[in-house]
Amino acid sequence: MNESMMQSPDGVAIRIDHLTKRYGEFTAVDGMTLEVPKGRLFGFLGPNGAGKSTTIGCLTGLLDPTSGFVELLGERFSSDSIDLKRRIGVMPEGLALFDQLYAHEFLAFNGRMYGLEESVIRQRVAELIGALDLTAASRKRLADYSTGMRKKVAFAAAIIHRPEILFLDEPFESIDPAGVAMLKDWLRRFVSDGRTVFMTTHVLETVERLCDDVAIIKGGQLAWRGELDCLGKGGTLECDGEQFSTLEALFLHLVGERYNHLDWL
Amino acid sequence: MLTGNILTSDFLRKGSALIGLRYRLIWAQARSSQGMISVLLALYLLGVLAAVLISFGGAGAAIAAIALGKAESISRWMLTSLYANGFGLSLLFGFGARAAFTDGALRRFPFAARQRFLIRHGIGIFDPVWTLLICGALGLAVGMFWLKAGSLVPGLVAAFLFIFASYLTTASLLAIVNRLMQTRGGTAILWGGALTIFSVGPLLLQSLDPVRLRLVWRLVDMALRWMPPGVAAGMMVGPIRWSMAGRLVILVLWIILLALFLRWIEHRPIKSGTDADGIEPIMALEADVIGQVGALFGRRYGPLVDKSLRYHLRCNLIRYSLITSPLLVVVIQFLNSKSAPGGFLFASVLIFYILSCATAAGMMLNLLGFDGAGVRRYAVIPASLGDALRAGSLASMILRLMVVLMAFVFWIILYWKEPKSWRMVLMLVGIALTGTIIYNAIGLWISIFSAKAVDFDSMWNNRLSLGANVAMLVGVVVPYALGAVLVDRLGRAAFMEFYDQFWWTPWVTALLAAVLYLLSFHNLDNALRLKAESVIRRIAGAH
Ligand SMILES: Nc1ncnc2c1ncn2[C@@H]1O[C@H](COP(=O)(O)OP(=O)(O)OP(=O)(O)O)[C@@H](O)[C@H]1O
Ligand SMILES: [Mg+2]
Repeated sequence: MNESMMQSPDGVAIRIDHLTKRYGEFTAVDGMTLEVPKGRLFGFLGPNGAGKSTTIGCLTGLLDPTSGFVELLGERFSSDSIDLKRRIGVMPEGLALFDQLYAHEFLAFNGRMYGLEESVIRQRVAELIGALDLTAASRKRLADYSTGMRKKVAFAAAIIHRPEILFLDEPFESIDPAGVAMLKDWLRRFVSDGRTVFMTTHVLETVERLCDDVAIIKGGQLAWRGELDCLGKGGTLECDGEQFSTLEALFLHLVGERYNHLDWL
Repeated sequence: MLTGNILTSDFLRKGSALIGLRYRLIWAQARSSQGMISVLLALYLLGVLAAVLISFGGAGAAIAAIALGKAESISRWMLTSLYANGFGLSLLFGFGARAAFTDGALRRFPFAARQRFLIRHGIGIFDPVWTLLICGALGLAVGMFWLKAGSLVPGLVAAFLFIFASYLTTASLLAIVNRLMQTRGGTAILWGGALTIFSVGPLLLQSLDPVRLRLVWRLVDMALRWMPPGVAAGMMVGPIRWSMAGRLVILVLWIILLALFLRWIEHRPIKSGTDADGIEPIMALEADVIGQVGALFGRRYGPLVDKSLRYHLRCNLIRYSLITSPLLVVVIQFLNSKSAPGGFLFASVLIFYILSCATAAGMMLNLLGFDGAGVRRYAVIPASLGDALRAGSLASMILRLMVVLMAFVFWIILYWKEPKSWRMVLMLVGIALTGTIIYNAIGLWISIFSAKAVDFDSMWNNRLSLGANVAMLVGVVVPYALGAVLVDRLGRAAFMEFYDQFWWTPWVTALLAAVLYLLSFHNLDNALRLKAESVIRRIAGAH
C-alpha cells in the first residue's frame, strides 16, 4: 500500500469514517472506514446486497448517513453540499435518467446544472453522442433506448463537466465490448492527471485489468482492502495468511463458494 | 362471439387470482385514499340525482309526476344523467373506467388476447365509480318498484345491463381519446371535435324559436328511448309485458356492439408519438422556444424549468387537460339561466374558478411524481430537491396561466353577444388568478407530503394522491356549495348588489394567494429535507 499517499490529507479524494446507514431496523452499511487516494481507479466490490450502492448513495448525496461522516476532496460532504457536488460526477444505480427527454436534452441539462457555458455544452454533447454511437437514436426519447444505450447516456452525463471524482455504480454491465473498451480507455486517461474513479462492478476480470486499488465489502463491512499492481507482475494477493493468484479466488474465499443444486431444474 | 371455448376452468382460476390481486390493490389503496374518494364521489352522485329530481320540481313533484304516468321519462333522464356522468367524470378527471391491468402487464401471463380483453374490462368494471353508478341505477329500479311504478325483476336486470353498457361506452370513448392523443394530428382533431360539439350545437339551439326548440327536445327524447339509458328506463317502469323482451334484446345488442367496437379500437396499432416528434438532434439546443423560456429563469432555475416544461408538454395526460380546460368555458351557456339576473356572470365566475384550479391537477399537485427513477438525479446534481420542486411549480404556473388566457380569449369570442363590462372582466381575471396561484401554492406542499409515482405514458391509469384528491374535491366542492347556498339564501339580487360593490375582492384574494405562494416557495426546504429520502424512494422505487 502506498502509505505516504494515504496519510497526506491533500492526497485523499474520499474519506469514509465509521459510516453507518440503516433502513429502519436493517443496517445496510455498518461502521465502514475507508480512504481512497487521489488519482486512483478504485474498485469497490462485494456480493449482491453487500451495501455498495448504499455506500455510493451516502458518498454522492442520494442518502444521508445514519452516523459517521464522509469527506470528499478534503471537505465534509453532506446532501446539502452543492459546491462539492459540482466537483463530482455520478452514475447512480438505476441510472436516474429523465426518460422523457432526448439524449441531447438530457446531457445539456446536466451540463447546465454543472455551470458549463452553452458553447462548451453544445460541443461536448455532440462529441459524446458521436463517440458513444448514439447518433442514430437521437430521435428517440431515453425511455425508448436499449439498456446499454441508457447506460452510455448516464455515463456521458456523469463525465460531461470533467469532475474531480467520478462515482460509477456498475458502469460496464450490459454495455457492448467495443463500448467497454472505449470507456476503460477514457477512465485510464481520466485518472492519469490526478482525478479519481470510484466504481462498483461484478466483472472481476475488468477490475484486475483496470483498477489500482480494491476494497471488498460484505454485510456492510469492509472485508479486504489492497492494491492490485502486483498481480500483473506475477505476484499474489494476501488475505488471512493465504496467498491468492487471482482476484476471483480471493473474492470467493471471502464471500464463500456456494454451489447449491436444484433437483427439479 | 367474445366467449366460447376461451372460458376454460384454468382461465377462470387464473382470472380469479387476478381479481384477487386487484382487490388486494384496491384494499391497499382504500386504506390510504380510495375509501375517502369513494365517499366524496358518492356524495357528488347523490347531489347529481337530487339535482335531476329538483329539476322535475322536487321529490314531491316527481312522485306526483310518476302518479301521472311520467315515471318513464323521469327514469330516462335520471339514467341519462348517470350515463353522462360516467364518461364525464372519466373524461375530465380520469375517474373510473380504467382497465385495472394494462394489456402489456397481462402479456407476461399465459393468457390469449381475448382472455386478456375479458380480464381487463371484467375487472375494470369493479372500479369504485362503477359500483356507485350501479347503486344509483339499482336504487332507481327499487324506487320505481316501491312507488308501484315498476316491476322488480326486469328493473334489476335493466339496471345491471345498463351499467355494463355505460362502462363499455366510457371505455370506448377513453380508448378513442387515447388513440387520438397518441397520433400527431389527433390533438387538433380532438380540439376541433370538442369545440364543434360544445359550441356550435348550443349556439344553434339558442338561435331556434321556442316551437322549433320543443321539437328538437322531442327528437332528443325520442332518440334517447333507443339509447341504453332510455331502453333501460323502459324496462324499469310499468308492469311486466312483452315489449320488455324487445327492450332486453336491444340492450343486449348495445352491449355486444359496444364490446366489439371497444375490441376493434383497442386493436388498432398505435403509432409511437416519440418518433414523430422529429427533433434535429443538436441544433435544437439553441433554437427551441422552451429553451428560451427556460433561459429566462437564470442559471439556478433555468435548466430545471426547461426540463419541467418539456415534461409537462410531453405528457399526454397533461396535454389533454391543457386542451380540455379552456373548453370548459362552453359549459357556461348550460349553467346560464336566462331568467335570473346576473346568470351569465354567475356561471362565468363558477367556470373560471374551476378551470383555473381544478383541471390539469396531475402535475401541479405532484411535481416530482412524473420523474420516475429520474427523481434520484436531483439528489446528485448540484441543486437541491427544493429547487427542482420550485422549478416544476414555475413551469406549471406558466402553463396554467396560458390556459386561463386561452379560456379568456375563447370566452370573449364565444359570448360576444352577452353584455360585458370591465368590472366583470377584472373580477373573472382576479378569480382565475386566485385559483391558479392558490393551487400552485398547495401543490408545492402536496408534492412533498403526498408524493406518488405516476405512469407517465398512461392517460387513464393514474390516480391522484390522497392529498391531491382532497385538495381537488375540497377546493371545488366547498366554494361551489358555499356560493350556491349563499346565492340561494340571499337571492340573485343580493349577489348582484354584492358584485356592484365588491367586484374587486378577487384581486385581494389573488394577492393573498400570491403571498401564500411566495411563503411556500421560500420555506419548503426544511420540510423537504426531512422527507427527501422517502419522497425519492416512493417515486423512484427502491433504487
Ligand atoms: N430503501 C431500502 N430499504 C430497505 N432496505 C434497503 C433499501 N435499499 C437497500 N436496502 C438493503 O440494503 C442492503 C444493501 O443494498 P445495496 O443496494 O447497497 O447492495 P449492493 O451491494 O449495491 O448490491 P448489488 O450488487 O445487488 O447492487 C440490501 O440488503 C438491501 O436489501
Ligand atoms: Mg448495487
